[in-house]
Formats: sequence, C-alpha cells, structure tokens
Amino acid sequence: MVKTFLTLFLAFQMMLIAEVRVTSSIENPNLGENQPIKGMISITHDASEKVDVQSIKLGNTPLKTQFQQDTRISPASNLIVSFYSFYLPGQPKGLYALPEVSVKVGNQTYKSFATTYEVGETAKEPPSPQGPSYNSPSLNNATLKLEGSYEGPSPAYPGQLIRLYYRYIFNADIELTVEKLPLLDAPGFRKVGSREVKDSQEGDTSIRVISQTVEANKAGTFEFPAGHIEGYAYYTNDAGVRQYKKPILQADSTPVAIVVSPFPANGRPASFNGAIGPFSSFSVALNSPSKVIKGDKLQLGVDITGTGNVRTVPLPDLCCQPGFSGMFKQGDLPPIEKVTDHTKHFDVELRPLFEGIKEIPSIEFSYFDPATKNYGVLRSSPIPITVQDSLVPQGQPPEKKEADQTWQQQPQQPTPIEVRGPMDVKPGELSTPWWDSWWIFLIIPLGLLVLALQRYRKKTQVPQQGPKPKTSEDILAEANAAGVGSPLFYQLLNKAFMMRLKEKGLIESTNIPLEKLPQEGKPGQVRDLLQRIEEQRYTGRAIDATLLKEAGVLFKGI
Amino acid sequence: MQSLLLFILAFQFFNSDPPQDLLQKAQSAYRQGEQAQNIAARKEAFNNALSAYLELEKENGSGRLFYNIGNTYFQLGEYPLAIYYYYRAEQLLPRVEDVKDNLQIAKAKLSLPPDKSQEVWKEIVTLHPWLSLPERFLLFALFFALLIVLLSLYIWKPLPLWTFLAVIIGCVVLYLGSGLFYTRYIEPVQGVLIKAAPLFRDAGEQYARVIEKPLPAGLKVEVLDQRENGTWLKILDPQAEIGFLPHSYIRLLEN
Repeated sequence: MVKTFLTLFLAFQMMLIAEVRVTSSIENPNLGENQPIKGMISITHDASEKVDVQSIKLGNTPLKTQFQQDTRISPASNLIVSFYSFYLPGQPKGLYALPEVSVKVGNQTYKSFATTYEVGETAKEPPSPQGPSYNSPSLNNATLKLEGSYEGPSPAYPGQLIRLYYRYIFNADIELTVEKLPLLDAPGFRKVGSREVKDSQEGDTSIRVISQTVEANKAGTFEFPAGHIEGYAYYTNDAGVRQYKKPILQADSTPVAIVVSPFPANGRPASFNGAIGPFSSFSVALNSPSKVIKGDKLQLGVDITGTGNVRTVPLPDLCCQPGFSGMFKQGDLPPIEKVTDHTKHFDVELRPLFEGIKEIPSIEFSYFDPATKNYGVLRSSPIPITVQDSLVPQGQPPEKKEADQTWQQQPQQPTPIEVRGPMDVKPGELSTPWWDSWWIFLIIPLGLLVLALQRYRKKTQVPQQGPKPKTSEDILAEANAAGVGSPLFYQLLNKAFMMRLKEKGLIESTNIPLEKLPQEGKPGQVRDLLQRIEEQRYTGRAIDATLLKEAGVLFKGI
Repeated sequence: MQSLLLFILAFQFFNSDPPQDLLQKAQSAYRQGEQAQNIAARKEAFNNALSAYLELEKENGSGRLFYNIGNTYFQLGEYPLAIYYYYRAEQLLPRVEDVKDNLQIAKAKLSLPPDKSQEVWKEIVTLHPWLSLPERFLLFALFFALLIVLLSLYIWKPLPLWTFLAVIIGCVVLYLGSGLFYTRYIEPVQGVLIKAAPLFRDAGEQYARVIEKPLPAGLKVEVLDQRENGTWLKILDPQAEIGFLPHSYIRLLEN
C-alpha cells in the first residue's frame, strides 16, 4: 500500500513542479528555397528567474538569438513571456525537423518540443531588404543605408494619425541578421492596421519602405532611439548557393522625436470630447416612431461628416448636453459605429424618462481644427417627439417637465455611499507565506522521505533485536508443561519465581542463590516456599497439592 | 559615538513599517472620502486612498485589500475596475457576503447580467464557491500530513485500522490534489473587460467583428489563447461567442 501511495504522489509532484514553458516555431509558414529562416522562441517563466541566453541550444548546437521583448501575462502576475528570435540558413525545398530548443532558466534547463517546417518553392515576396535581385558577384561596392522618420502633422494632437516609417536603401542582395526598428513598435501610440512594406527601384538603388500608421493617444514628447540594421551582401552562384561577402554591412538611422501637443484650453467648448476636425456637417435623425411611452426606446442616427479623422471621432457626450440630463437615459451599451468615406454614423439608444417631453433637444458637437488651431461647433436641429404615460387616463394632460436649458453642472452634494464599507487589512496579510502558495507541494517529497526513512529504520532494526526475552509467566508456563514430577519442573519453577522478583524490582539479578534472598517481604516468602518444596522433593514424596496451590497464589501476589 | 549613531540609524531603518503606514494612510483617506461633504473632496480622498492601496498591492495582495481597492474604484465611478477587484477578492474570500453584495451592486451599475453558475462538477472539483486557493492548499497539507502519520503507524504496527483510515484519508488527499492540479493546468484563465471591447474574428483590427455590438465593460470572460506576442487574446464570452480582442482591454483573474 505504501508503495502505491509513493508512486502516485511522486507522479503528482512531477506534474506540479513544471513552471517554465519553452516553445519554438518558425515565423513564416511560406518559406522559400534558400532564404534565411526566421524563428521565434518564447519562454514563459517567473520574472525573478533569469534566462541564460548563452545556454540556448538548437538540438545540441548553441544557437545565436536576439532578444525581442518581455511581455507580462498580467499586471498582477509574476509570469512573463520572453521572446527571442533566431535565424537558420536557407535550405532547399523539403520538409525539415526543427529540433528541440533547450534553455537554462534559473538553475534548470528546459526544453521545447521538436517541430517540423516546410520549405517550399521560392517565395513570391523575397525577405527584407531584398528588392530586385542582383545576381552579380561584384559586391565590393555594396551599400546599405537606413532612414527613419514620420509623416504627419507637427506638432500632432491626440487623435491624429501619424505614419512612422523606415527606409532601407541598398544596391545589392543583402541577408539581414539584425533589425532593430524601435519606431515601428511605437510605444505611447495606438497602432492602426498592420505594417506595410513597399519596394521601389531608383536607378541601381533599391528602396524598401516599412511603415506603420499610429494614432496619438496622449500629449507629450515621444523620443525614439536610432534604428539599426546589419547583414551580409551576397550573390547566388550558378549552383544556386549563396556566396556571402564580408565584412558585415551596418546602417543606423537618426533618432526621432514626435511632439503631441495638448488641446488648447482657451476657447474650448463644454461639449468638446476629443474630435479632430475639420467637420462640415453634423446631423441627428430619429429612426424610430416619434410617439412613445416613457421609458420606451428612441433610436437616433447621428452622422458626422468632414475631412478630419472621421474614424476616431467620438460621439458627443449626450449625458451633459443641455436638456438631456434627467430627461433621457442613454443605452448602457456603447453605440454602434459605422464609417463610410468621410462620414461616421452612430446608432444611439435613448429613453425618455418622463411623459410630456416634447422634443429631443439640439445636440452640440464640437471639434478641434489643427490647421487653424481653433475649435469649431456644430449643432443639430431639435426633433419633436411625443412621450406619454400609458397609465394616465385619457383626457388628463400629463404634468409637463421642464428640461434644463443650460449645461448640466455637477451636483455639489455627494450621493450616499452605496456599497458596504472597507475591511481592516493587517500588514501580515500582505505577504503570502509559502504554505499559501504552490510551494506547499514541497510537503509531498518531505512526507515521502519521512516514510522512506521509517521503513529503512524498521528494516535495519528488526534483525538486531533478536528473540524476545522470556517473562516469568512464560517460564512458569514452561514449568507446568514439563509436569510436576519432572526435575525440569523444579528448576523452571525456581527460575520463574526469581524472574518474577526481578521483574517487580525486588531483586537485582536472577542469579542470586536461594539462601541469599532476603528473609522479609515477598522475597522472604519465595525463599521459604521454594525451600519447603525442595525439602519435600528430597524426601522422595510427591509434592503436596496445597503447596503447589500456595506457590500459585504467591506467584500471582508478587 | 559613531557606532551608537549607526546602531540607532539601523534600528530606525528596520523598525520602520511602510505597509503599516500606507495602510493607515489608505484607510483614513477612505474614511475621509466617505464623510466628505462635497464631490471634489470625496474624489480627492478616494484618489488618495486608491494610490495608497495600489502601492500596497505591489507588495502583495490579500482578499481584503482587493475588496478595499474594489470599493475605492466603485466610489470613483470606475465600475469595471471595481468589478475586477471584487472578483479577485471573491477568489480569496469566497464566503464573505460583503464581497458578493458589492459585486452585484457594481454589476447592476453597468446593467451586466448575473454570472452563469458554474457546472456542478467543476464546483465539486475546484471547491471555488466554498474555499479559496490558499485554504485548499492548507487543507491539502493537513490531510497529507495526516496520511503520512497513518502510514507511519502502519509501518511500525500494521493494524487493519491504520490501513482503513489511510485509504480514506488517501482518497481525500487525491481528491484535493486533483482539484489543485485542475486549477493549475486545466481550468481556463478568466478575465474582466475593463472597457467596452469590440470582438474580432482574428487577432487584428482589420478583421471583421464577431458581433456588431462591443462587449460591455465589466464582463467576465474566459481566456482561451494569446496571439501576436500576447498583445491579442482569444476569449469566450458568456454568450458562447469566441473572438479576439486586444490585451489592453482585459485584466486577467489569475489563481
């Protein structure tokens, strides 16, 4: 039984301690013949454990990798995913195995699973930065340049689109080994769409432009370090094998700084909520019946048209518009948005809260025009509606509620506290002891060790103990078994009494001669009894039954 | 003299208790917020409480701390984040009614539907409605220790009673261990949307939407996979729709 539990818990423990996960893959599923193969390694590990980059091996071969980025799984988690890229040389068409990748994290080595990848016919689109092919062995004049910049307003305002790009300029086939393009990662900006790559030719020079469109999120100055690329020029010989030219070509771009200005405070309309103009028209239409019962849904269609950033323009905040607060409730779900050419359309749900409301008031939409650096304001027309209370009997005019005709001010008195109060937190709670974490499973090997030690101790102890020593009861039983008449009976009876006295602590050794026993107390009674038995035995008569009975009583009485 | 000065400095260094100070600061700021007489004062106090609580969260979390952070976000009108922290508090304090009540109030603020109840077998395996993960660790450790004691007795004195008890306790340990294994390796990670998020058919904004309406903020979803270096997540919403959304829209509820 113990063995079964040992096996089960060992297996269970093995499954639980696996913390680090390593995966490897080839990035491009459409690999072309003889083109460098880019792969990616992802290592999920605890942030406190360091990945030993030097230890990364592909099969048994050390692998040169380049760190890409660390991604934390969540702000509260200690787990991060580290990404490393690597390159393999180009290969002819066929199916290949990507051996397992091993890496040392902390003090342990972890492995990914081996996978396969397929190299097909030459890909239609060559890998960067190859534009047109240069099948010439004269590579002495091979050059590589990198330019990094951006297109868009300067300074930009939050919500405006900016195109960030790098331009590769080269005049030979180049196999890149390092590409660091920080501008395209664009931290602090929101990416719009994916990267674009365009190739062109100017005389003997090829140009590749890699660009990324982003949207400015917040005001500030965003500085990007210089980009860096390096690679080897090469030509493909008649046998189809690439011949590389040394030394390695390197190119750096200049650092780029993008300034995003905050919206000016002067003249900012109360309804402004971040729309970047200019916009030419703003209209609101009622797309549902105009006669409703209070609480029923009104469907509004809001259209904003202009040459500004239509895609990101937000719906005006209806909650605070004059005439809306307290009179209408907007749907809880965000409005449905649709962008067509230069117009953005919103479908908005609105519910009148009181009977007697006569119209959907004019809605104000304001925007900022970066060209003129001024704000513009557009207003929709009021829409007449009829709101009835179904419970009001016919003929009684409903009480009319007057809507606020000014911008809604925040109420000065705070609302009552709705949730239950805070709990007392003690500093001790803020540190997680090991027994409240997965470390508790260390108890399993510890427990198994304890069991194993006990088993070992028991096995080694048993032979040393030898046979169990006989008690006085055992000896007396042997005497009875020998029979009253036999000489062994007297010998064993004598021994049983002496043993009894020793067991009870009345004498120190069983080897004391009978005549040396004390004359008082139980030893004295034993001495007297045994002497009488001896005397009777040597008279040649059979032992008196009463004497035997007395011996039994005395034995039990000691 | 110099060594005395060093000793005093060292004593003061080790004796200072930043978490205690921060806790007092946070809790007094929260009380000030509750008692504030105008909105500006209330906002300021709750913001002070929030920054102190979030500073404490960097050290480590506890159910009560998460609950208090949830409350503070609630008072500041950030209901999706309040919901997120209430869920985290609920993971660690599954039997505390205050957490459940405040979570329901916050969800009602966003008109969110009640959570679907978990399948019974999952509840039985994970014991989520009754025990937090640390409590399950402790229970597992206690029963395992008891099992070791019984097996030790069996080794020294193989009585049928020890065998019988060890089998029963062993079954309990296996049950608790299996639940923990499920939680660690099989149970899907859940997350809470902290803002309304469009659901795309693939990892990128250029793809079509799975549903026209965005998923509401505060919604709890299951995270199935990650794409694009973790910047996009594949999720399953309560209506059984599967799609992709950017990681920045979601906060994960990890065990």
